[in-house]
Amino acid sequence: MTFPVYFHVFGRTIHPHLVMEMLAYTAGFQFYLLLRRKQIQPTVPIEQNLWIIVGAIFGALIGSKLLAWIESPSEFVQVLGTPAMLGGKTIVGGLLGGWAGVEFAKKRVDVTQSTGDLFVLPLALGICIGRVGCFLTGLDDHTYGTFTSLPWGVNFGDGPRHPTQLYEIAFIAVLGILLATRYKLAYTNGQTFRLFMAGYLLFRFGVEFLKPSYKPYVGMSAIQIASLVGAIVAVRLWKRGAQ
Amino acid sequence: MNQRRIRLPILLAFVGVLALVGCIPLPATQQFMPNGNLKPSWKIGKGKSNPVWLGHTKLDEAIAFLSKHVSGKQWDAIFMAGPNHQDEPHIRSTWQKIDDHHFSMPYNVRAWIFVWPLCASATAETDGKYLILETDDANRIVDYDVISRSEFYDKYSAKAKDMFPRPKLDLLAPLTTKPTE
Repeated sequence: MTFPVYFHVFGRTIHPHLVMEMLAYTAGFQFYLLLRRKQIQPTVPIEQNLWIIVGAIFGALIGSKLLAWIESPSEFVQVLGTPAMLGGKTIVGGLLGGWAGVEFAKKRVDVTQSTGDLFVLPLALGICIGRVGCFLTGLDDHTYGTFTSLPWGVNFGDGPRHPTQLYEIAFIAVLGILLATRYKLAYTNGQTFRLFMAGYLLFRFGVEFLKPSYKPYVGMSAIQIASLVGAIVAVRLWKRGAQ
Repeated sequence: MNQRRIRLPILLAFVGVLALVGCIPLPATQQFMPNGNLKPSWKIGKGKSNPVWLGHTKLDEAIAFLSKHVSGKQWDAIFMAGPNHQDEPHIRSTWQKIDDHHFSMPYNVRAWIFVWPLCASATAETDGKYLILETDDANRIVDYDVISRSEFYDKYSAKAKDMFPRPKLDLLAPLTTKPTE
């Protein structure tokens, strides 16, 4: 297999990351709508819900870019003002920014009930699909792991490396299934979302040690610090909700 | 439900997702090259009005015309960076002879236009093609074909030979200075 693995759509060659990213957003949103229709408990009215989604999207946009720029500030300065500066984004920043955006929007439209549980499985699905795009992109995506001699190491073009994108897909799939079965899809109090965030962020904190990323902050990357802070907040909120 | 009240959040959500993706991919027609000219096959035909007139135009005339047609400013990044320049001698040097009656020239067509709204710019992604010209014993162009770059590599790259010398890129050459008198 040669990376990037391009797709051929209607006789045109197109980059895998673009295809999988769009597919991830579309599939995640359709899955969310499906779960929302099946919900028995009263849901937030559609207009307020749309504003919450807008808050999530713009929060994710700001968070994903900000963290990507803090993650590698020297690269950001080099591409400032060009389309390349919009290319970098991080899922961790997107999730944390999206979460903050939702809370901000809920305050603005006077929604007090928890809304995050319904997003857990769509988020898991979206991340899994998006990471396939990262994997197929190979070295250009900068989401690969360090070199390894383990038999499942993947050669993206410069020798076998940890396929950290595939580790993430496997982890998210297991986490999603566990949360779905444990909580029987009872989306009411935000606890499933907090557990999902805590689990995913802790995983990211750990798996980043397997990546050859820039780690200037006490031997950690900006993504690791954001993941750690986010996980602590999620666990504290979950504990408070459990009492 | 008031339909008018949900229009704005739906529009904002749509714009937000596009901004998250970063760019809007628009399929291009694949009829234009990065220099803005129509692809070479538009210039070949059976009518007298075609610059490369099948059955009449000689190979060297076709090479001269098509090399010029493909050369020039190559706008890969529209509205943003300055264009690259592919000069005519460089294009001419890419012609290859497959056998006594078949000759090839590579060129690119715009396959996708990526619009980057937050940067107010657009970039183009190209697909590589090969124009194959067929000649008769009198060296007149009698037919042509267009194939993808990968198809060319599979079928012809082993036997294709350069027709013209490639320009030398002597990057390490010392700067010449005018001798002091």
